Amino acid sequence: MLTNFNSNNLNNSENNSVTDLKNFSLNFGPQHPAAHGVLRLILELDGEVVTRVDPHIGLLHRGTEKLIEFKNYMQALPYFDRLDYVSMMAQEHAYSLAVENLYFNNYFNNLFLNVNVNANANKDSFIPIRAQYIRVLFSEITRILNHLLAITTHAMDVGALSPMLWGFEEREKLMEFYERVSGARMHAAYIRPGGVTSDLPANLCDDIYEFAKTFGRRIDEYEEMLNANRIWKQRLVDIGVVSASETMNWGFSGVMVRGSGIPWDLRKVIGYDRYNEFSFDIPVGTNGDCYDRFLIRMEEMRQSLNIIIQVLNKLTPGEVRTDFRKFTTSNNSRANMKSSMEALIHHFKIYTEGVTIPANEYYATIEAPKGEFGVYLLSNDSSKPYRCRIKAPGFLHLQGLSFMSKNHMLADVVTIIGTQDIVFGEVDR
Amino acid sequence: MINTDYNSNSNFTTENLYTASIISKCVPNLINQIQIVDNGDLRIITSTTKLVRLLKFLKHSSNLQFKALQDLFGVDLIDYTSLAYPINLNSRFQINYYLLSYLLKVRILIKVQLDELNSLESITFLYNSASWLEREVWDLFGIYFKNHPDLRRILTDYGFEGYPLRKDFPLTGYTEVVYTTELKKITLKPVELAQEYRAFDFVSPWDTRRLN
Repeated sequence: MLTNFNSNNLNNSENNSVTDLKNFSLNFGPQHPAAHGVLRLILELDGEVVTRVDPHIGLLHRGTEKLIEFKNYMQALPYFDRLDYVSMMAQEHAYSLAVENLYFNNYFNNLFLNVNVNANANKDSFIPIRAQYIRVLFSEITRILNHLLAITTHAMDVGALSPMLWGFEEREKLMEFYERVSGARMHAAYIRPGGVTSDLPANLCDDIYEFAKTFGRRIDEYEEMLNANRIWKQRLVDIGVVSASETMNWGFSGVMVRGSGIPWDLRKVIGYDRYNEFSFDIPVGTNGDCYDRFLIRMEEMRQSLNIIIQVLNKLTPGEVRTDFRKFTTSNNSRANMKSSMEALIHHFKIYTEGVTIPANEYYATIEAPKGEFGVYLLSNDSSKPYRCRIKAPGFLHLQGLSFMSKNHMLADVVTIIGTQDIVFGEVDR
Repeated sequence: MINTDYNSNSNFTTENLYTASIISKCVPNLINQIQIVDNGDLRIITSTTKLVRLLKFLKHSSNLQFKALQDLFGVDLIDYTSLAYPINLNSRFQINYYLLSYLLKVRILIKVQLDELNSLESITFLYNSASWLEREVWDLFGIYFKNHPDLRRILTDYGFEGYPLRKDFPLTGYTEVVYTTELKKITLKPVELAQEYRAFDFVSPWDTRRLN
C-alpha cells in the first residue's frame, strides 16, 4: 500500500481518480486476546468485509490421543481435564462412561469370567446411584462454569467489561466446589471409571444449595446488563446466522444446533447417568444468530440450577464407587493395605497394571457444555486402550467459522468466535 | 420434522432395528455386514468402492435421513492382535464414519478398511463437516482422500514430516524444536532423551483371557 504514495503515483492520480483497491489478507493471531487461545486466522478482506477465513489450528496440539495409547485406562483420565480446560468434569464424565460401557457391555458375554450375574444387569447396576447423582451434580456445575466463561468473555470481546468481572467472581465459587471434592480447582480427576473418587465432604451440599439459591439473582444481573443493551444487540443480532440444515451439514452440536431451532440435547435423548429422572427444559432459538445462542446459554444456566436443586433433593447416602473389585479399589484401600496382604496386592495391581479390558469398542457421547463430546475407545485384551478417539465439538464449530463470517465485518469475526465458544485445548487435542 | 418425544427407550433399540432393516432391504449390495451390538449400537462394515454410494443413500433416503456426519476417524490396526473381536485384519487401516439421524435419533458407525497403498474418495461434497476431519486423518494417518478441495495438514506443525498416529511412529517423535542462537531462529534437531521411555508390562502371566 505504501508504494502507491511515491511521487509518480501522486502525479498519475490526477488522471485516474479511481484507484484500484486490492483485497488484502490479514493475519489474526496466534496471540490475540479475542482468539480465545492460540488461533491463527488468515483473513481475506475486501475493505472491512471478510471474504474468506482460513483458520490455522494445531498450535496447541499435544498428541493426547497418542499419549493415551501408552497409558492404562486410569492414567489416561487426567488428559481429559486438559482438553477443554473450562469444562473439565464433563469430559471426565464422557471418558468414564466410555470405559465403563467398554468393560461392562462385554463382561456379560465373557465366559472366562465365571460369575453368575443377572442377565438384565447392565452398567447402571454396577455404578452406585449416589455416584451417578454426584456426576450429574458436577456435570451441571461444570455447565454453569463453562457458560459463565463463554458469555462473559464473549461480552468482553464485544466491549462490555463488567459481566466478566461479575462472572469470574461466581466461577471462583464453583471452582471452590471443585476444590472441595477433589483438591484441585480445575484439573479435578474426580469423576472416574467406576464412580467418583471420593464422597462429598461434609457441608458441601449445603453450600451448593446456598449458591444455587443466590445464583439466579446473579443471572438476572447479567441479563439486566446485556439482554436489552443496545450495543450488545447491535453486535449480536443477525450476526453469524446458521440455518438448521447448515448445522446438520457442518456437524454442529450443542448450543449451535439449538440456536437454529433443533431441540437436540443428549441429556434428554440418551438420558445417560440418570439424567432422564430430572425435569428440565431445552431452550431453543428461532433465528440461529449469535443473540439467540447467548440467550440459550443464559437459560441453560437456569436449567442447570434447576437440575442441581433436584439432585440435592434426591441425594441419599451410599457408596460412591462400584464394589466390583475387578474394576476399582475400595474406598478405604489405602488403609486396608497396611494390615492385609491381599489388599496390598490388589491395590498394587489396580494402580500399576490397571484394568484389563477384553477386545471391544465403544463410542460414548455426552452433552458437554460446548456440544456433543465423544470418546471412542478400542480395547485389545490389555490394560491400555488400543485407540482413543476424542471428538471435540469445537473442532467442527471452528470449521464453520469460514462460512459463518463470510460477508460480515472484521469485528464480527470476533463475535462469531465468541459465540462458538472455542477453547483450544479441545480443538487441537 | 424432528421428533421431540424424548420418553422413548434410551438405547434406541427399535429405531436401530428399523434402520438396520431398511438398509439391508434397500441397499444389500452396498454393505458387507451390518451388526447390532448388545448395547444397541449399530455398525456397518463396507468396502471402499461402495462407501460413497452407501453414504449418499443414508443421507438422502427419506426414511433414514442421516444428515449429520458427527465424526470421522482412523484406526491403525497393524498391532491389533485380539482374535476375539471380529475385525478383518487383512488391511492396515480402518476408517470410521459416525453418522447421526436427527429424525430417528440413531447413530451408525460405518467402517471401511484399506491398506497403505489405497486411498479413499472424499465425501466433502456430501457432508461439509468431512473437510477438516479428512484433513485430520490425512495428517495423522497419511491416508489420501481423492477430490478433497483442500487437503493440507491440520494439527501438526508447518513442515512436519511423518504420520503421528500410526503405530510405528514413536511417542516422542523424531525431532524437537530448539532455539539456535547463532541463526537467531527456531530450528529442528533430532530428539534427545535423557532416559528411555519406560514401558512396563504388568499383565499377569496367569491371566487366561489373552489365550482366548
